[in-house]
Amino acid sequence: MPQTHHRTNAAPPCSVVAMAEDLTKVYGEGESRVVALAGVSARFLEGEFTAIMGPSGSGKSTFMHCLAGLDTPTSGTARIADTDLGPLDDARLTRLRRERVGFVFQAFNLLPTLTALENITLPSALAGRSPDPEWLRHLVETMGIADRLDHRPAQLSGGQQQRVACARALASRPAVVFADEPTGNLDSRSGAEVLSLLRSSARDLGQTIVMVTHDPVAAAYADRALFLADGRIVHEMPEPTAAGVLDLMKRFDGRTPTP
Amino acid sequence: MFRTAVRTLRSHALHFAMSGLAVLLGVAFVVGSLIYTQSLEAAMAEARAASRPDLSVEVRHDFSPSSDSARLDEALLRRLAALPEVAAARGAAEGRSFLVGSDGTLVGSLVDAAGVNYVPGKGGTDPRYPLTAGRRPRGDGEIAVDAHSAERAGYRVGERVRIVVNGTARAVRLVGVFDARDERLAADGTLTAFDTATAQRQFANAPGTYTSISLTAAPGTSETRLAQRAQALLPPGLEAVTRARLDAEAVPGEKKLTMLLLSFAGVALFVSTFLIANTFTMLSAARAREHAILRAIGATRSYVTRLVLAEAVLVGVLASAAGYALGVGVAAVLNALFGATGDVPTPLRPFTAGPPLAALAVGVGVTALSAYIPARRGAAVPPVAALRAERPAAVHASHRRTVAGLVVTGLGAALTLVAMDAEDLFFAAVPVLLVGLIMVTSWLAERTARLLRSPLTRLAGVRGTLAVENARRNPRRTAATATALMIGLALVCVVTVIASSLSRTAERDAESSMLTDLRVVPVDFAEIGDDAAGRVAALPGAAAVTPLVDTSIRLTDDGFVSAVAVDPGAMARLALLDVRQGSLDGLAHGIAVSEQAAAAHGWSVGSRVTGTFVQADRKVDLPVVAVYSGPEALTPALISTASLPEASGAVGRPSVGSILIKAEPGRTARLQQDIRRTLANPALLVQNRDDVVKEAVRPFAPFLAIMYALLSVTVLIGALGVINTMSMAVFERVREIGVLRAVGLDRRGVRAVLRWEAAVISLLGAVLGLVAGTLVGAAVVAGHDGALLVMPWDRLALLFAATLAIGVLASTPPGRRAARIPVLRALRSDIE
Ligand SMILES: Nc1ncnc2c1ncn2[C@@H]1O[C@H](COP(=O)(O)OP(=O)(O)O)[C@@H](O)[C@H]1O
Ligand SMILES: [Mg+2]
Repeated sequence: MPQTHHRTNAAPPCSVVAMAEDLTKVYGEGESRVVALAGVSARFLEGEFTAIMGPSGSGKSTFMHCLAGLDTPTSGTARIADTDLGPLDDARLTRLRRERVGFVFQAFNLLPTLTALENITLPSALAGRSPDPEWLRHLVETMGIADRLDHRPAQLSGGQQQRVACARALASRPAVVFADEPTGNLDSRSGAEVLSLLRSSARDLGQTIVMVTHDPVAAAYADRALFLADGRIVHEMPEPTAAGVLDLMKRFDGRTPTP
Repeated sequence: MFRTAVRTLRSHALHFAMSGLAVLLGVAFVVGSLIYTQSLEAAMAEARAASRPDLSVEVRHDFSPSSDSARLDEALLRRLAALPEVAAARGAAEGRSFLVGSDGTLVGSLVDAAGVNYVPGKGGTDPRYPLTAGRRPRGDGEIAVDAHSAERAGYRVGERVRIVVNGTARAVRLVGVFDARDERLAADGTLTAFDTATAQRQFANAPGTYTSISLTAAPGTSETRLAQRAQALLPPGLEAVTRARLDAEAVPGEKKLTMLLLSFAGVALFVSTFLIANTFTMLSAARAREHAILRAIGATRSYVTRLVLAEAVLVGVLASAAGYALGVGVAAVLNALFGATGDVPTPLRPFTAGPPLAALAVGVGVTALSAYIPARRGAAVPPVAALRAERPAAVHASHRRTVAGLVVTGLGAALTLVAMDAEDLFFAAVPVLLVGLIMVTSWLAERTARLLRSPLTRLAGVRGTLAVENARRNPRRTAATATALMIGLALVCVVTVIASSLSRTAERDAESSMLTDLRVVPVDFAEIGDDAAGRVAALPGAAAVTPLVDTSIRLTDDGFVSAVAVDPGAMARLALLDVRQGSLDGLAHGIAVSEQAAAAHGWSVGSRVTGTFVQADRKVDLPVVAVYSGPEALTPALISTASLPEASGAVGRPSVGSILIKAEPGRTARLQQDIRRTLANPALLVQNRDDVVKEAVRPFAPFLAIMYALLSVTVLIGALGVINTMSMAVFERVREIGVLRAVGLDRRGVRAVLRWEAAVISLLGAVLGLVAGTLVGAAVVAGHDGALLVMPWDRLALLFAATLAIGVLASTPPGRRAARIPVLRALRSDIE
């Protein structure tokens, strides 16, 4: 698809959209103390599609949550588009998420009472804005859900629901979209559809995407892959392939991650 | 099984809390009502038993037509005393006698303000009334009173005090104070003792007679036997009544109060059932998985049902126990509320067997009954549901139920209309109407929510959309919650419409009945002395004064006519009548009749009205001197007070109902004060036009306040229902709340969504309650002859708004809890 839509409020090309500096996160105290993040630094450039990889319990979700303003790190800095999340209170963090961040969850997490369209426009509605109709039309067409807009989530298949969720994440043109295991609950065909949609959003629309996954096939859709183990980034792989990722994981871990 | 139930109860304590609280309140209401009324009854029964310990049989008038001429005299007393079965006989001359306190007001409850005769026994004292100070009364200038009343009135032996007997106030000397155990004292009355001759003159209907004779049975004689023997000696018109029958006759006013209180408690409990059913339905849905696993590993359906019922029973038992404790407090509140007039509070007896048993039965019964259907439905989950992750869909309004509900609602509305002509039907119409409304409410809930979607979206944006959609999700639950609010508001509206209308009616009647500048009327249970009108007329500034004496004439040619006896001269000066035929000049020796009466009986000027006075059995034969039209108080006939029969005694003589007074121009206020000073009788009200209206509407405000107080429990439970429903909603939607928070809903927004949802639910309940309550109230008033229908719109609007506000406010605690849930925990919650 040709790139017809220019991002109006985006930073200049190759600028850093999200950044983590020496993030740590410690849960619990004493006996039950768990270091989920042990000093993670990373930069995410505009239009870049990054996969965060790692075995279960390696801190992928925690990293994403801290970076997205859903959780507060124990120390270190997280920035979204020049905004330091550290000093923000709950209301400001909420506003930031609403305006600058999009989410795609593993369990779809659409509001069951709202139609597909209402789900898509929910963040802008919460902000009291109406989304650009052109952009919206383009999005739903890209996602292939144009004829499903009046349906409720219960009337949609899993793949369709996840594409609605993607549209919701992209609708407000956020600085960055975070996706946590977006294909975890999908069959491989629907998963592939969703992944190519995410990739084309990054390539064609210049959308920055950070995707948490432990699936090497999913990681292969990304522009680069970061590998986490025990709360640290242990490797970075540009242009990952499924075979390469699998290979690396075997080497790090001595075992294949559970799918 | 109970161990499992205890565990469930612990882990879901918060969810059971509201149900428990609702049952607790209902039980406390029941227990409080029972303890209070039983204590009242027990206190009365005790006082009754102690009051005349020596009474076995009482001889009294039987109120048959020959009763008037039967004499309870000294000769009869002696004959009865001579019976071998009689150990002692005492003649009583009792009637009403008010004690005026040192502050100028009447002392105690006026119904039970009694005058009695002091019967000195051996040693000069009456064993019923042992003197604690002074001596017994002698002559008509002396009295003795019971110690409690003397203290309340602020009197000591030897002082001059004022009493009111037969409508006239007089000063007497207080010569003695006695101790007494008497049911009238227990009911907050007073006892004023006179010597027998004075009491007879004041209270008996013929000189030298008594008002009753009490007999003490000789040892070994039963009351019944004694009554039979005594009856044989009595002339027609008198009867001998055993003590047992007297006690049974004592009007059980408390029974009515018990029923009233218990029916309010019943409404409160009924409202709780919705809340309980909601809770158990929600928990059954939340635990469908758990139940399905139980079923999959071999538990029977009835086992699962019993498991849930065991929880209900446990909640019921806990709530009943707490409710009983609170009920003791409620009894004290009721005691203060209803016993407010007296300063002797009834001693409460909280530890009888009845209330705890009732508490347990009601508490456990209501909880188990309301939980039964949800339990059955919960147990109906198929074992395969254990394998499915999602929770079962909410039950939507069934079509059949809605249609049936509409039919029942229609029937209820029709019955309400019919009941306007047959008031007893209201007791059937109101429940039918309510049941119908309850049945259609889930459908209405769905409808309302759909209707409200776009206006609310416009008003509150996507928060509004979410709220409406959430309210629509579980129409049954929304409906049950709204219903609980509806019932409370409906009943409040019914009493409000009725009280406002009756108050306005009383005001109108008072205005139209007030024919002159001033009037004198007695307070309840009191009367106006025969000489009062004369004393008022003698005052300067009184232009025209007439007493109004209601009497009734039994006509020779069958039928009755009521007549009002007036002062003919004053009547002419008052100029209240429109004389159509003849003139009032001859009224002193004739009768004036209204146009209607003239038409009904075929009278015209010159015809004669013949018959007898009903009260005194004395002949009347008067010429018709005028035909008039006039105000209702002066119809259908007027005669002169001079034509009235002479008073033959204290009982049965026609008495002055009121005195009408026309003042000289500009002298009204002065005259009012002068009359008060002259009559110096706190049992008489001297009123101008404003006073009359104020007096007429005076009882309504406290009545309404008591009704509101009783209904407040129901409204409170309705509010608990909203808290409960919103808490359950939060519990079920943690994950959704997490998503909303993640995509940009702030804490305030979370609260707002819940608040709007509560507003939708409350709006439904409030609209239904307002409409149903107003209609029923209006129908009751319309069915009440002569009542004006007044819609107190401002107050109804206030009640409506208050219900909405209560509902919305009730969403605050769950809203706050929802807003506090951390986003991540919410997102990870596995409940969806
Ligand atoms: N709320 C929490 N409390 C305590 N420990 C937690 C919490 N969340 C995550 N952890 C721990 O932090 C570590 C990293 O978790 P997570 O980021 O979810 O890993 P991943 O997403 O890579 O599987 C794990 O050991 C996990 O047990
Ligand atoms: Mg994870």
